[in-house]
Amino acid sequence: MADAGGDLNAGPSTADAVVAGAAERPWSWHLVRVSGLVLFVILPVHVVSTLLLTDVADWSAELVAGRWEDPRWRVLDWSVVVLGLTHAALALGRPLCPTGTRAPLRTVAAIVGVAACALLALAATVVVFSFELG
Amino acid sequence: MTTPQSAPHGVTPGRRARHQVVAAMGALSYVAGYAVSLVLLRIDRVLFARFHDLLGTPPVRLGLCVVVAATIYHAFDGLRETLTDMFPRAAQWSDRLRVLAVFMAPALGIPASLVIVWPMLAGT
Repeated sequence: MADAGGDLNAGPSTADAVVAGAAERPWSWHLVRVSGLVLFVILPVHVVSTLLLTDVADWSAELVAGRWEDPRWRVLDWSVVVLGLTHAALALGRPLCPTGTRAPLRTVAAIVGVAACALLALAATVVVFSFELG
Repeated sequence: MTTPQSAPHGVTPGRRARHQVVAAMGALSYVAGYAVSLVLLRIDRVLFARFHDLLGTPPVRLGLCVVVAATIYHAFDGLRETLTDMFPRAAQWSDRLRVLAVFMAPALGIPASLVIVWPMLAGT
Protein backbone atom coordinates (compact mmCIF):
# COMPACT_ATOMS: atom_id res chain seq x y z
CA MET A 1 0.00 0.00 0.00
CA ALA A 2 1.29 3.38 -0.84
CA ASP A 3 2.58 5.37 2.04
CA ALA A 4 -0.19 7.55 3.32
CA GLY A 5 2.06 10.56 3.41
CA GLY A 6 2.62 11.88 -0.12
CA ASP A 7 2.35 15.64 -0.16
CA LEU A 8 1.02 15.49 3.36
CA ASN A 9 4.57 15.01 4.53
CA ALA A 10 5.62 18.28 2.98
CA GLY A 11 4.30 20.62 5.59
CA PRO A 12 1.58 21.52 8.02
CA SER A 13 -1.67 19.74 7.28
CA THR A 14 -4.64 21.68 6.04
CA ALA A 15 -8.10 20.55 5.07
CA ASP A 16 -7.26 20.98 1.39
CA ALA A 17 -4.05 19.01 1.69
CA VAL A 18 -5.76 16.15 3.49
CA VAL A 19 -8.60 16.00 0.98
CA ALA A 20 -6.13 16.11 -1.92
CA GLY A 21 -3.99 13.44 -0.23
CA ALA A 22 -6.99 11.17 0.28
CA ALA A 23 -7.94 11.52 -3.37
CA GLU A 24 -4.43 10.47 -4.45
CA ARG A 25 -4.35 7.40 -2.27
CA PRO A 26 -4.70 3.98 -3.89
CA TRP A 27 -7.89 1.93 -3.79
CA SER A 28 -6.28 -0.46 -1.33
CA TRP A 29 -5.87 2.34 1.23
CA HIS A 30 -9.58 3.17 0.97
CA LEU A 31 -10.50 -0.51 1.16
CA VAL A 32 -8.48 -0.91 4.37
CA ARG A 33 -10.33 2.05 5.88
CA VAL A 34 -13.78 0.88 4.80
CA SER A 35 -13.19 -2.72 5.88
CA GLY A 36 -11.83 -1.44 9.19
CA LEU A 37 -14.96 0.60 9.84
CA VAL A 38 -17.24 -2.33 9.01
CA LEU A 39 -15.14 -4.62 11.22
CA PHE A 40 -15.37 -2.09 14.04
CA VAL A 41 -19.12 -2.80 14.06
CA ILE A 42 -19.34 -6.52 13.30
CA LEU A 43 -16.26 -7.89 15.05
CA PRO A 44 -17.51 -7.05 18.58
CA VAL A 45 -20.76 -8.85 17.79
CA HIS A 46 -18.76 -11.87 16.66
CA VAL A 47 -16.40 -11.85 19.66
CA VAL A 48 -19.29 -11.52 22.12
CA SER A 49 -21.29 -14.30 20.48
CA THR A 50 -18.41 -16.75 20.04
CA LEU A 51 -16.25 -16.12 23.11
CA LEU A 52 -18.42 -14.52 25.76
CA LEU A 53 -22.00 -15.76 25.38
CA THR A 54 -20.82 -19.29 24.58
CA ASP A 55 -17.83 -20.85 26.27
CA VAL A 56 -15.11 -21.45 23.71
CA ALA A 57 -14.74 -25.10 24.78
CA ASP A 58 -18.45 -25.78 24.22
CA TRP A 59 -18.33 -25.20 20.47
CA SER A 60 -19.25 -28.20 18.34
CA ALA A 61 -20.48 -28.85 14.83
CA GLU A 62 -24.03 -29.09 16.17
CA LEU A 63 -23.71 -25.67 17.79
CA VAL A 64 -22.44 -24.17 14.52
CA ALA A 65 -25.30 -25.84 12.64
CA GLY A 66 -27.80 -24.33 15.06
CA ARG A 67 -26.19 -20.91 14.74
CA TRP A 68 -26.14 -21.06 10.95
CA GLU A 69 -29.80 -21.97 10.68
CA ASP A 70 -30.20 -18.22 10.80
CA PRO A 71 -28.58 -16.99 7.58
CA ARG A 72 -27.71 -13.68 9.23
CA TRP A 73 -25.20 -15.45 11.50
CA ARG A 74 -23.78 -17.26 8.51
CA VAL A 75 -23.28 -13.99 6.65
CA LEU A 76 -21.85 -12.29 9.74
CA ASP A 77 -19.34 -15.10 10.33
CA TRP A 78 -18.34 -15.09 6.68
CA SER A 79 -18.05 -11.28 6.63
CA VAL A 80 -15.81 -11.25 9.70
CA VAL A 81 -13.45 -13.79 8.16
CA VAL A 82 -13.34 -12.34 4.65
CA LEU A 83 -13.22 -8.68 5.65
CA GLY A 84 -10.73 -9.37 8.44
CA LEU A 85 -8.40 -11.31 6.19
CA THR A 86 -8.78 -8.78 3.36
CA HIS A 87 -8.01 -5.97 5.80
CA ALA A 88 -4.95 -7.89 7.00
CA ALA A 89 -3.78 -8.87 3.52
CA LEU A 90 -3.90 -5.26 2.31
CA ALA A 91 -1.94 -4.10 5.34
CA LEU A 92 0.56 -6.95 5.09
CA GLY A 93 0.95 -6.29 1.38
CA ARG A 94 2.23 -2.75 1.79
CA PRO A 95 5.83 -3.71 0.86
CA LEU A 96 4.53 -5.07 -2.46
CA CYS A 97 3.19 -1.69 -3.56
CA PRO A 98 5.21 0.51 -5.92
CA THR A 99 6.02 2.98 -3.16
CA GLY A 100 6.53 0.35 -0.48
CA THR A 101 9.85 -0.68 1.02
CA ARG A 102 11.81 -3.15 -1.06
CA ALA A 103 13.64 -5.09 1.65
CA PRO A 104 13.72 -8.71 0.36
CA LEU A 105 12.73 -10.28 3.68
CA ARG A 106 9.74 -7.96 4.04
CA THR A 107 8.71 -8.65 0.46
CA VAL A 108 8.82 -12.43 0.97
CA ALA A 109 6.96 -12.12 4.27
CA ALA A 110 4.35 -9.95 2.57
CA ILE A 111 3.85 -12.44 -0.26
CA VAL A 112 3.49 -15.34 2.19
CA GLY A 113 1.12 -13.33 4.39
CA VAL A 114 -1.10 -12.21 1.53
CA ALA A 115 -1.19 -15.73 0.04
CA ALA A 116 -2.07 -17.26 3.42
CA CYS A 117 -4.86 -14.73 3.96
CA ALA A 118 -6.25 -15.35 0.47
CA LEU A 119 -6.21 -19.13 0.91
CA LEU A 120 -7.83 -18.96 4.35
CA ALA A 121 -10.53 -16.58 3.12
CA LEU A 122 -11.26 -18.84 0.14
CA ALA A 123 -11.38 -21.98 2.29
CA ALA A 124 -13.62 -20.31 4.89
CA THR A 125 -15.97 -19.12 2.13
CA VAL A 126 -16.29 -22.67 0.83
CA VAL A 127 -17.01 -23.97 4.34
CA VAL A 128 -19.56 -21.30 5.25
CA PHE A 129 -21.59 -21.66 2.07
CA SER A 130 -21.33 -25.45 1.69
CA PHE A 131 -21.90 -26.44 5.31
CA GLU A 132 -24.83 -28.83 5.65
CA LEU A 133 -27.03 -28.14 8.62
CA GLY A 134 -28.26 -31.70 9.01
CA MET B 1 -1.47 3.92 6.36
CA THR B 2 -0.25 6.02 9.24
CA THR B 3 -0.35 9.65 8.38
CA PRO B 4 1.60 12.55 9.77
CA GLN B 5 -1.47 13.40 11.83
CA SER B 6 -1.84 9.95 13.26
CA ALA B 7 1.74 8.73 13.57
CA PRO B 8 2.65 8.09 17.18
CA HIS B 9 5.31 10.30 18.69
CA GLY B 10 8.80 9.24 17.66
CA VAL B 11 7.55 7.12 14.78
CA THR B 12 8.37 7.95 11.19
CA PRO B 13 5.19 8.85 9.29
CA GLY B 14 4.04 5.93 7.22
CA ARG B 15 5.48 3.34 9.62
CA ARG B 16 3.66 1.72 12.46
CA ALA B 17 4.88 1.61 16.02
CA ARG B 18 5.73 -1.81 17.40
CA HIS B 19 2.74 -1.87 19.76
CA GLN B 20 0.44 -1.14 16.80
CA VAL B 21 1.93 -4.06 14.86
CA VAL B 22 1.59 -6.38 17.87
CA ALA B 23 -2.04 -5.34 18.38
CA ALA B 24 -2.80 -5.85 14.69
CA MET B 25 -1.23 -9.33 14.82
CA GLY B 26 -3.38 -10.11 17.84
CA ALA B 27 -6.52 -9.11 15.96
CA LEU B 28 -5.37 -11.09 12.91
CA SER B 29 -4.76 -14.17 15.06
CA TYR B 30 -8.40 -14.04 16.21
CA VAL B 31 -9.77 -13.90 12.65
CA ALA B 32 -7.25 -16.41 11.30
CA GLY B 33 -7.92 -18.76 14.22
CA TYR B 34 -11.63 -18.62 13.53
CA ALA B 35 -11.02 -19.28 9.83
CA VAL B 36 -8.82 -22.27 10.70
CA SER B 37 -11.54 -23.65 12.97
CA LEU B 38 -14.02 -23.39 10.09
CA VAL B 39 -11.63 -25.28 7.82
CA LEU B 40 -11.32 -27.98 10.50
CA LEU B 41 -15.10 -28.14 10.64
CA ARG B 42 -15.09 -28.99 6.95
CA ILE B 43 -12.34 -31.59 7.30
CA ASP B 44 -13.65 -33.43 10.36
CA ARG B 45 -16.26 -32.45 12.95
CA VAL B 46 -14.41 -34.33 15.67
CA LEU B 47 -11.25 -32.40 14.83
CA PHE B 48 -13.26 -29.18 15.16
CA ALA B 49 -14.47 -30.23 18.62
CA ARG B 50 -10.93 -31.16 19.66
CA PHE B 51 -9.65 -27.79 18.44
CA HIS B 52 -12.19 -26.08 20.70
CA ASP B 53 -11.26 -28.39 23.57
CA LEU B 54 -7.72 -27.11 23.07
CA LEU B 55 -9.01 -23.51 23.11
CA GLY B 56 -10.62 -24.32 26.45
CA THR B 57 -7.33 -25.19 28.14
CA PRO B 58 -6.01 -22.63 30.67
CA PRO B 59 -2.95 -21.43 28.69
CA VAL B 60 -4.98 -20.90 25.52
CA ARG B 61 -7.76 -19.15 27.45
CA LEU B 62 -5.17 -16.73 28.80
CA GLY B 63 -3.87 -16.28 25.26
CA LEU B 64 -7.41 -15.52 24.10
CA CYS B 65 -7.62 -12.79 26.76
CA VAL B 66 -4.52 -11.16 25.29
CA VAL B 67 -5.93 -11.53 21.78
CA VAL B 68 -9.22 -9.89 22.79
CA ALA B 69 -7.42 -6.98 24.50
CA ALA B 70 -5.17 -6.55 21.46
CA THR B 71 -8.20 -6.58 19.16
CA ILE B 72 -9.96 -3.92 21.22
CA TYR B 73 -6.87 -1.71 21.19
CA HIS B 74 -6.38 -2.22 17.45
CA ALA B 75 -10.04 -1.39 16.80
CA PHE B 76 -9.98 1.91 18.68
CA ASP B 77 -6.51 2.87 17.46
CA GLY B 78 -7.61 2.13 13.90
CA LEU B 79 -10.74 4.20 14.39
CA ARG B 80 -8.53 7.06 15.61
CA GLU B 81 -6.37 6.80 12.49
CA THR B 82 -9.39 6.71 10.22
CA LEU B 83 -11.01 9.70 11.91
CA THR B 84 -7.84 11.78 11.81
CA ASP B 85 -7.40 10.90 8.13
CA MET B 86 -10.99 11.60 7.14
CA PHE B 87 -11.57 14.70 9.22
CA PRO B 88 -8.61 17.08 9.37
CA ARG B 89 -9.99 18.81 12.43
CA ALA B 90 -9.94 15.52 14.31
CA ALA B 91 -6.14 15.54 14.09
CA GLN B 92 -6.01 17.83 17.12
CA TRP B 93 -7.83 15.11 19.07
CA SER B 94 -5.43 12.38 17.98
CA ASP B 95 -3.60 12.18 21.32
CA ARG B 96 -6.84 12.07 23.28
CA LEU B 97 -8.22 9.41 20.97
CA ARG B 98 -5.04 7.41 21.53
CA VAL B 99 -5.57 7.68 25.28
CA LEU B 100 -9.13 6.45 24.69
CA ALA B 101 -7.75 3.41 22.81
CA VAL B 102 -5.31 2.70 25.65
CA PHE B 103 -8.16 3.07 28.17
CA MET B 104 -10.67 0.92 26.28
CA ALA B 105 -8.34 -2.07 25.92
CA PRO B 106 -8.35 -2.88 29.66
CA ALA B 107 -11.79 -1.34 30.30
CA LEU B 108 -13.42 -3.81 27.92
CA GLY B 109 -10.66 -6.39 27.86
CA ILE B 110 -10.61 -7.17 31.60
CA PRO B 111 -14.35 -7.95 31.89
CA ALA B 112 -14.15 -9.97 28.68
CA SER B 113 -11.12 -11.82 30.01
CA LEU B 114 -12.97 -12.64 33.23
CA VAL B 115 -15.79 -14.18 31.21
CA ILE B 116 -13.31 -16.18 29.10
CA VAL B 117 -11.34 -17.57 32.08
CA TRP B 118 -14.36 -17.95 34.37
CA PRO B 119 -14.91 -21.67 33.59
CA MET B 120 -11.25 -22.18 34.46
CA LEU B 121 -11.58 -20.29 37.76
CA ALA B 122 -14.84 -22.04 38.59
CA GLY B 123 -13.21 -25.39 37.91
CA THR B 124 -15.70 -26.47 35.28
